[in-house]
Amino acid sequence: MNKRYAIPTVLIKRGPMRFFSQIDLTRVIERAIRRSELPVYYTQGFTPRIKMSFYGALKVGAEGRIPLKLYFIERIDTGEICARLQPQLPAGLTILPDSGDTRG
Amino acid sequence: MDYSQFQHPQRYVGNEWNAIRKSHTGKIPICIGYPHLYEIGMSNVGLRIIYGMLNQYRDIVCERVFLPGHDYAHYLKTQRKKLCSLETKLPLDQFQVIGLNLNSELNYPNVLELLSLGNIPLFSRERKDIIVTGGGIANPEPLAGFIDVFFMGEFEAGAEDFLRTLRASPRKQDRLRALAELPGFYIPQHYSSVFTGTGYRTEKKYPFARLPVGKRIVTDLNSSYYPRKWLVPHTSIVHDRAQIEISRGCPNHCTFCQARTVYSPYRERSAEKVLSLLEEIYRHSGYENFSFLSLSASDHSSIEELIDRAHSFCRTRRIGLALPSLRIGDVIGRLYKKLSALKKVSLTVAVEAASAQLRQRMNKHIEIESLFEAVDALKSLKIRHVKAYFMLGIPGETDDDIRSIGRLIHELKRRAGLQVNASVNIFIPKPFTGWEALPMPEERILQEKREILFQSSRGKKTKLSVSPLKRSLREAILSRGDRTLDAVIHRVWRTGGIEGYPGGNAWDHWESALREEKIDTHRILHRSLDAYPWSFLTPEAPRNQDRCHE
Repeated sequence: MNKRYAIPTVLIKRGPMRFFSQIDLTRVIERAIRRSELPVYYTQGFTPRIKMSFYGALKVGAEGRIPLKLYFIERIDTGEICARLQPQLPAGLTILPDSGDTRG
Repeated sequence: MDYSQFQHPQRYVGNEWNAIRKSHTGKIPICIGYPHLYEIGMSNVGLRIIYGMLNQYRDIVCERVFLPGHDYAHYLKTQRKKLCSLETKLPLDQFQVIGLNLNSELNYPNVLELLSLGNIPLFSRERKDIIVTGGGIANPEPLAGFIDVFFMGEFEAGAEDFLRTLRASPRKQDRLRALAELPGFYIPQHYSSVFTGTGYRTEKKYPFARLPVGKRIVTDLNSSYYPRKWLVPHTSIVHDRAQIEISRGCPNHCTFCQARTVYSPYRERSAEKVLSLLEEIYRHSGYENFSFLSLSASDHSSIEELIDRAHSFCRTRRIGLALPSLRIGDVIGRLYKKLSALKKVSLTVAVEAASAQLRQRMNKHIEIESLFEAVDALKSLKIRHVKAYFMLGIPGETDDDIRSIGRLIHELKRRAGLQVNASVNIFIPKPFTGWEALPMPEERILQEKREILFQSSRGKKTKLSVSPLKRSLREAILSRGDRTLDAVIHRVWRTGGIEGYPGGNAWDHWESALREEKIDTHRILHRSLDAYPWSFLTPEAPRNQDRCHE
């Protein structure tokens, strides 16, 4: 089993992206990670998926912040991950390193 | 705008990955659309090809529109607002051209709903500036009153001509006049269509109109446009995957099939080209699922190489790969080893007729019985169920032929251990097929056939879905109809017969509209004529003319 490194980030959802649901968001993040070619960690089951953990959800129509943990198979600086993901995200989504004070 | 007051607000945002937003200054604005909901329209590959292709031109801006949900449509009507394009939220009536993909006849009333929500006059003769174009259907006559230009064939091959005409003059009548002289552009108002008692006669009203109209086709799929920057919706759509067209047309000649004529001739995209598209589209989209698009993938001359190489690309990146339209013989024969490497293999078989004799008559060559001998192969491919398509009401079909559908399903369960999901469609003698001149069975007889089918095919481990009779009749009337149907479609639209809206597909809308307009449905469905409303069109590809300029 691959070693994995958890990277705490915060996703900020606003503007046009507020109309997208939590399920939509996982799709958007997964495709952004695929386009970024970051060495992402996949779940090990029969249907491998990109592993990610959302800590909370926003209802459709609401703007706000969602703590999001991403997993990689190499140790990469959180800042670099966010810098490589941001250009792959649609307008209305911002990803930032989690400074640690957002998780309830 | 707060879209969250509507169901599925994602439909209206228009911020898909790779969506193209351009300034409109100094450009000709074109809006292309599909007359059904976003998640259905966005699954259409033709629309994506045209979207990407038109936006390549500096002086053109091409945006999209789909039919909004009924709640949003209600909001637009009550608030007196206009339906807008997705990209720049420009009202539809501000575009110079509205281009519609019409690949299902059932969507005809939806066309009117879409235009009306965009404040566009419905009848061609009432529109001063805007040109409404349509394409993707074989017999355009029922929509003749509404559409200014029908494009016949593949727009990749006609786009240059079309755009040149738009640039030459801003006036609608000048534009139509210029298009009239070009092959592939059918402008209904330039022709008359009359029923003579034994058939239809279509004539030019003006000397400049073309007869035959002709059809435009791409000669080489390897050099023709295909989108790389695949539009990726942020929400799920019906066909939620990137689709790569590996061939166009079909080399087989099934008698009932309309697609083989409409998409003729058969052409292939090379394995090299398909793989470079796969890599590029993946890089631009990050899509986790891909599928090949083809009327008959088994016939692709490099299908084995394609599966091998596509699979090795997809496996390392954990991309799902789906292969449509493989022949049974190939799935359990030469492609078996390659397919077993894929994670999930589903088996869909267009059996069409359960009796071999009927299949012979329709020139449909499949080896359904070979499934019984291939139990091991099926097991190792992890195929648990098979999806089987049948037709009911085929010319010359006996009651025993219908019962043989049930027997085949039963045998597949007993001998091959497969669950069967059978989907049965009622045969419609579609224009431009070998059976276009055959009468459709009477409604009463079709009803009896349905009963026999249900009685003989029900059972455990079988999912049987049969297309509703009235729906098939509606489709048959619209696909075989003449110009007088425009009044029917208009009435149905007025009473709310919109596909995809609550109560929209009720037969009542059609029954009263057909009666009010005194439409002779017997002539449309059951009479053999010496010429049909569509007979003046020639979708069979011409061999040496009307080729695209490449």
